[in-house]
Amino acid sequence: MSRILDEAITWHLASEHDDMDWDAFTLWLEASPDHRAEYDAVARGDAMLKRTGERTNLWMANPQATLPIITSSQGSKRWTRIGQRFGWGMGWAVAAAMAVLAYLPGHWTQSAQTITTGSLSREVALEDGSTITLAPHSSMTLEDRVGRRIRLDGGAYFAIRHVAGRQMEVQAGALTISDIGTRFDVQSQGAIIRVAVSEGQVGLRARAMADVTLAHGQGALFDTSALQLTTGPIAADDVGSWRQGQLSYTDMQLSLVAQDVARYGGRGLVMSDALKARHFSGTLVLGNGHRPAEDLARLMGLELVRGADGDRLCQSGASC
Amino acid sequence: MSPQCEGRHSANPNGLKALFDLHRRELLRFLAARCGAPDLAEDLLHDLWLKLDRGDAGPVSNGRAYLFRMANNLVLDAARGRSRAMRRDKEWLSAEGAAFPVPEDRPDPACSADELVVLKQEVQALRRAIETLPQGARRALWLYRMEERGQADVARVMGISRSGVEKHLTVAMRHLRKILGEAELLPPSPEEQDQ
Repeated sequence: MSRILDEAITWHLASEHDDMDWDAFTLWLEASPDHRAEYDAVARGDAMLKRTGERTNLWMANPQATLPIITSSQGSKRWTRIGQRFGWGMGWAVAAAMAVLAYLPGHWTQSAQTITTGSLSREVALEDGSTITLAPHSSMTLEDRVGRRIRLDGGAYFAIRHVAGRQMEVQAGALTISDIGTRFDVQSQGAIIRVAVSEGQVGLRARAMADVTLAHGQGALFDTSALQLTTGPIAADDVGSWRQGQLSYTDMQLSLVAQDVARYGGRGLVMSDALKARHFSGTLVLGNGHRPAEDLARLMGLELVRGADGDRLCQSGASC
Repeated sequence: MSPQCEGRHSANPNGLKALFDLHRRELLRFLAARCGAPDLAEDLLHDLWLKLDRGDAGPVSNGRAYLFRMANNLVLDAARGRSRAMRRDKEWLSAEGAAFPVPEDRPDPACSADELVVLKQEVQALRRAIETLPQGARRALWLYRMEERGQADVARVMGISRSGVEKHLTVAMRHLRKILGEAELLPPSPEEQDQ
């Protein structure tokens, strides 16, 4: 019987072409009622896919139960040497403790679809095999059905497959990142947007700024309030390392490190303005909620004061 | 189902109606073989003629193939209407349940609760089918079905041969058919019957 199914599928696929032999098909149908029944089932199934696919969101994501779960690699890495990398690094650590896949409402009634994460990251699979891992406490709006225009608030790692003739655009604050198939990480919160490329290259565009191409092994930091873009080398292997439960930095402003610790660790982390201006190099591992902040304090020679809602970094011995 | 106005023939630059007359017998034989019911075949042939009379056709490169495709689609629409009306445990005889054939391009009507249940079943089964497809078959199916690319174009985009595309699509269709059979949205698939 499965031979009949395969023949039915062959006829069905051929039927959309002008060179289909309709007379031979008629003879095949007449040969057995099973032929007719199986062809009809194939054609109806395909029509159902087309009809329902046009009306609802079948392809983008995914009730989590049936999709692969990204498992945590918490604690898999220990501290690495500080200052081992040059330039200012960005590998945003922190464990996506257990990422789950994005859930999108079943009925795709509008062209735009927003996914928001809580304390867990989520992976969104696009129809073309590309994937986007949305960081915890982040939000992403897919402005069209196939994920070619995306607006991001928070963090996300993009693994975009190259499709001829296609360009994808990610809008992060005032910065537009264009891509034709590569891997890169974006962290967008407040006025500062960070981009790091691990494979291929992306284009960066913002108002009143010349377009910039960022190649693999390069990172960019865009300050929206100053309309200033800074680029520099990064460790390509560390890009998006938060997905594996760690954040690696080289000479990164402490305020941005704290921002990441809060996002990925799930606990707020504040400090005085004087401390915000300091820089940090090293790798933080995501463990329990306090761990990255504790490690950061220890490495920086600071004191961590725990609060009910979040932690505070203080100069040792000073009141804060 | 009576002819509307035999004399009011709109101009048809494609000559499809002339081709219809030329191939009428083959079309009828095809329809009878395709739907397995001579009476229904006659009705569908008439529906096809009405569609041509309304000038529904777009530009056509191969008129004969186009007529057979139209006929084939009419069978599908009719089957869909029938299956809706007859579906097991379908107490829903919605406003369009008896409509025949069901226009494919009409806007979503206000769905009855039962229709929503069926739609939900369809969505669940189709998602399950899509998610469990091998990567290549999934991508080929998307490009072919949702982006409406021809097989040659899918081959170009995926960087594989045309026969490679056919293999992917065959895998996808077989899988789809199996899952929809398991979900009782289609009759059981032959693979299940084999077991």
